[in-house]
Amino acid sequence: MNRFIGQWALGFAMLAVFTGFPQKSRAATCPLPLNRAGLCASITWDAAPSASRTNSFTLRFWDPVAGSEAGPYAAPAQEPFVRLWMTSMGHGSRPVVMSRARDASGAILPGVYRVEKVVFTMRGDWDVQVQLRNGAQVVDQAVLSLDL
Amino acid sequence: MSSSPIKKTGTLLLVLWIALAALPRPTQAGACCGGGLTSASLITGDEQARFGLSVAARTVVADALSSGALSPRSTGSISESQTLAALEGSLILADRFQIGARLEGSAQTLAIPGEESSTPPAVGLGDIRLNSAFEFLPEWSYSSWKPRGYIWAGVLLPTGRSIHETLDPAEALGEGFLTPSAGVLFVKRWQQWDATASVELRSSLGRSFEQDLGAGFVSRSDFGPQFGWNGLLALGYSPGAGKLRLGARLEPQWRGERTVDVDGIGSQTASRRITALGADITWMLPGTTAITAAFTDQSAFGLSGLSSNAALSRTLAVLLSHRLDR
Repeated sequence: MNRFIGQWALGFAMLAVFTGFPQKSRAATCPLPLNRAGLCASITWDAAPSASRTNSFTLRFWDPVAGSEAGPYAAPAQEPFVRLWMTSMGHGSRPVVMSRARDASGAILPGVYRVEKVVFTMRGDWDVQVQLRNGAQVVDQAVLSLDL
Repeated sequence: MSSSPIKKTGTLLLVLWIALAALPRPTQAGACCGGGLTSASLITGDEQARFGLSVAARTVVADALSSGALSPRSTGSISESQTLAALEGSLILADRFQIGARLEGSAQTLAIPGEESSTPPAVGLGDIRLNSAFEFLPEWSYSSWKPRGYIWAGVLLPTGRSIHETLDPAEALGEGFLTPSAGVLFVKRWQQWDATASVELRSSLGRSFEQDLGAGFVSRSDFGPQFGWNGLLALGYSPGAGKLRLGARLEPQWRGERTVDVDGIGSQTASRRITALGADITWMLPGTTAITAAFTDQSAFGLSGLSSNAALSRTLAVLLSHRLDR
């Protein structure tokens, strides 16, 4: 009986490998991978993004080995930067306002940022580019694509 | 042709250009996305010179999605509006050779729901258009069918601040690229009717931009060249061949893809298509001056499928034009 269950378990494991289950799982646990920096990032919108108003979201970074989307979070070694870009039109939008998030006592939360004044100036396909920069150099970048 | 009319014309041009320079700094609407100067300033009649001064109010009314579907900018959504002033002039230098120029400026506002509306409008000079034309198909004698034909070559000078030079799209007042163009125009007048057909081919050249993103961040972007064309089909009717003219226009335009590299990350824009419909009414004032009111709707009154990848506007313009006879 145990041997029978073991064979089925092995079969399911092989099926999961061939159907790409691990990748889907990684996408779910690391929505915005920053491989060069060895970090993951996620965006949590305050309300569903829209081209009809100003939007805002919380941006979180974590080390996928030591943490998860639920924490603990890790501050990147480079400067994080968010740029809105409309690929089909070849232009961006107004700069967003980015600040370190704080807890109820006012202490800075490492690896957590508030991003406000997120304005998509027209409907269409937009990219939210999450960058880690050293001045002019983009060290790493992950993109969240939206169809607004 | 005598030289005195040219001297007078030159002086008048100079005065008008100085007057324009003294105006508040205005430009081109939806500059990134299809405002566009659609045709050259040409003399197609028998005059020696022609000058025009126009003011226009433009409002973005819809977004054309890549599928061609229109998404109206309803009340409560982001609104973009622009007030434009333009000065244009054309001058016959030789019997069949002419030059022309157009200067434009605007005040532009972008209002975002939920944000303070205290942001002052962005005001500045737009792009400058220069062109020269040759009447290759003159009308020496009356023909019931043969039109007058003109070929022209022109250039759009990127004097207006482009969307790639500012962090705020509301401050973009020009296309940002040096754009040579060439076109052909045919015009035919009958007693009460007139018709115009024109096509312009344009090639916007590549350019690099550097933007200071603040906090010590600098961004460099490289744009490749972009091909495009503008078309015009117009029909006019003057009841009783009198002082009144009623006109209707169809103005399609297309812009091709353009490669973009921003901070080492490459991408490609999508092609863009706009089909505008327009109507105008002209009244001849005493002398050789005319006043025109023109309405242009890039959303083509809400018809889907005619435009894509563009913010579409409606424009109401008033043009005062004056001609100097030969």
